[in-house]
Amino acid sequence: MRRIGVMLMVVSVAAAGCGARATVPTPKPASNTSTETTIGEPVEATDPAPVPGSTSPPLLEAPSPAPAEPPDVAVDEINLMLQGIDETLAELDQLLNDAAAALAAEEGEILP
Amino acid sequence: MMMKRLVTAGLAVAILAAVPGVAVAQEAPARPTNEQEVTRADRGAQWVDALKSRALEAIEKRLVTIGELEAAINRSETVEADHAAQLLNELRASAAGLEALAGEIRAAEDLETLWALVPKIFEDYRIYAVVAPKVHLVLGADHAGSVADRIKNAAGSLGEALDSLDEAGFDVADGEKLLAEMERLIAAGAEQAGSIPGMVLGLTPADYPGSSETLRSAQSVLQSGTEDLRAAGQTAHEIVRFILSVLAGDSTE
Repeated sequence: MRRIGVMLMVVSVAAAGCGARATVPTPKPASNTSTETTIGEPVEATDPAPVPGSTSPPLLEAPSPAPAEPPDVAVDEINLMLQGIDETLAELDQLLNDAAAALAAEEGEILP
Repeated sequence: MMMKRLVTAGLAVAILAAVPGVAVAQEAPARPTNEQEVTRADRGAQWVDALKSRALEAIEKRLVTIGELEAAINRSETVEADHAAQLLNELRASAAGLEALAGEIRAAEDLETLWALVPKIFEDYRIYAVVAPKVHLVLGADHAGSVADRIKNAAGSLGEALDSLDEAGFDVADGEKLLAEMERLIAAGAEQAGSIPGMVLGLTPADYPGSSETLRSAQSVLQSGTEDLRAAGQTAHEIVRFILSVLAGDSTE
């Protein structure tokens, strides 16, 4: 019993140390199956250590649940906004050209 | 100062006078066949008329330009109200001054009077050397400021989208990095655009020729600010692509 608890902690720390992400872009499975989980001894429900990865023992409850569904992101609205920005940037380019032309006209000033 | 004015006056009159001189020579069939019939007074009158015509053309050209500049200011949806008011006042004053000068030139009866009046077209107004570039740079700078505001709004929306993905458990570290870069570019572009009106609005015809260097510096600042804003816009597109890839479940690392 105690041994399993220590193993869980070791696996957890090792995973964290290797840079394993607490969250991933795709939903995580609700639980993992592992050879170590079939020993027959019940895992204490009070053990909260998160153990990501395929080798982790079974958890009664995932401590940081992965996203079940992607959030509602207004991508279309943002794209429209970016399209508007692109248009105003093009207008800005035109104004820059106008300013450059105005500056270039300086030499012609003394000619009627 | 006196010497400079004399040189400018001489140059202006020379240029104005040279062209009509050629024109008069080319109109040989209309002139008396016997050169001796043309008195010195006739020649003087021809010169006065030709010079007046050229000077009035130069004024008319500037009045047209002033009209175009006024239209550009009135058409602009992004120019700051106080900038527009100042520029329009200056343009109206220039137009009134040039119209009054045109009246004086029409009334002039001798070359000496014209020699005194014609250089004023350039020296007192500097429509092409100072006024037109100034107007265009302020319009460009204010538009750039407006673009910066729009991109800032987009950055806010993108930040919210990344936050909601983050809260839902997605890894958005790369998106956050892009957003930070986008915000840096917006700030740089906005700062540069915002500095331009202060550089050029105070320029007057009396500042010429030193004004040219200031105007070129302002143009350079506007170009640099525009490049930053353009890069910010491109970064915004990258962030959208990042968000789409996360939503599609692609690997983001």
